[in-house]
Amino acid sequence: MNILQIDVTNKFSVAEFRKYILEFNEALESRTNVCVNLKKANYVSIYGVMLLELYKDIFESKGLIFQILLRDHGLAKFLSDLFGKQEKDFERLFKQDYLKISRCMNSKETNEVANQVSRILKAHCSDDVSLSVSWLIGELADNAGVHGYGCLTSEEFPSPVYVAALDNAHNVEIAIMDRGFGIVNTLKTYGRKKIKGIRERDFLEKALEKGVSGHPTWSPGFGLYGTSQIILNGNGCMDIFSNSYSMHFKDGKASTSLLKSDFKGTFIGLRIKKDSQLNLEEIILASTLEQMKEWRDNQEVEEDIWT
Amino acid sequence: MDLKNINLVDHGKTLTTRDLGREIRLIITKYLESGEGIILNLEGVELFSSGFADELFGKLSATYDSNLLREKLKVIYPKSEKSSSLLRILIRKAVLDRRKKKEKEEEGDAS
Repeated sequence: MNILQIDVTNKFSVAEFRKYILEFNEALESRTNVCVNLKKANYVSIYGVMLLELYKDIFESKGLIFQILLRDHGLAKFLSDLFGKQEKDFERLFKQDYLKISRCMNSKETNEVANQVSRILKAHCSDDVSLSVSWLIGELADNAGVHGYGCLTSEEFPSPVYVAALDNAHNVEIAIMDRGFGIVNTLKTYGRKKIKGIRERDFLEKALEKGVSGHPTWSPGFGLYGTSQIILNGNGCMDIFSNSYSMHFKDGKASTSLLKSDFKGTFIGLRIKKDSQLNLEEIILASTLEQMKEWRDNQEVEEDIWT
Repeated sequence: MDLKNINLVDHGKTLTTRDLGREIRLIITKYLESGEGIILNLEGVELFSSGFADELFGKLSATYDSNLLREKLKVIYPKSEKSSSLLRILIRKAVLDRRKKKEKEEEGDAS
């Protein structure tokens, strides 16, 4: 049987995934097994682990093999655990704490995992960073659930929401992914008015604006906007893969690239500095005050019901 | 009057999913429809997502008369000032979002 062997000699993160996505998809198409050899890699990010695990799931669901080879010492022990191989003698290298990749198949599991990540964050970050990052995980994971196990469109099949978190030296790293319809396709289908006159390659950037990434009946489209504000204020960065595009967002600037082959679903990888000055209340309040103003312009505000 | 007690912290300190918000709203709806009063206790809760808030508070505010909700559904906020303040803002945002949406839908129907 044919095997595609990929030897990773340096590191495996989002950039390397971007490089190999075509080969992975072609192997899938031609029913070729894949072996990714990480024995010589000196660094594999949590994003790289999640993306490789995704392909492992996809290959296995089609009766194919997607093998990941790891060293049995050093960094590999940490990776083994992230890859779910349950090394007993795992030591937390570099004082790292982590939530190994969780696959949530329903709302209850998503809620539980979000609470686990919150606990990791609380142990390692300031209250403000912990609260802000917990909030954005809730937003992104809930939305991923709509596309993953929720099957937004009739063409989708129930698939998990993947969540992982890592306390990595000065940063917190989070990865959230679903195998659903994708941001670009969702905007094309449900947000035509919002993307009128905008090039398709700019859809991911547009999705970071308030009220764009939502759905007409059930979502106000605040999650990606709020996330981008937290990234901006938290001196962090964000990578998104969705459908045919990938986007890197840092310092308020987004750069988008066309992928060599389609990514089925949405992957979001975030990195935020643990000592950032973040104020979630201010971010949400700023948006709410705008709404209050708009509302007052139209009619008198009724006394708030519960606040 | 016998009040029904719902402790949201039973579902976690962070309330994430829209489905969970819907589940709790349906319980509240059942009580409201039978004329019962409810205490919704947020003590211990630190955070909820906008989807959760919309599904629970936004949709209740769009479905029922404000006076009825004020009379029948008592919300108890956490003692922590920080959590209480954040949750109030999230609820206010959800209610405003839903009202705005409802208004747009009504405008659409009228035209």
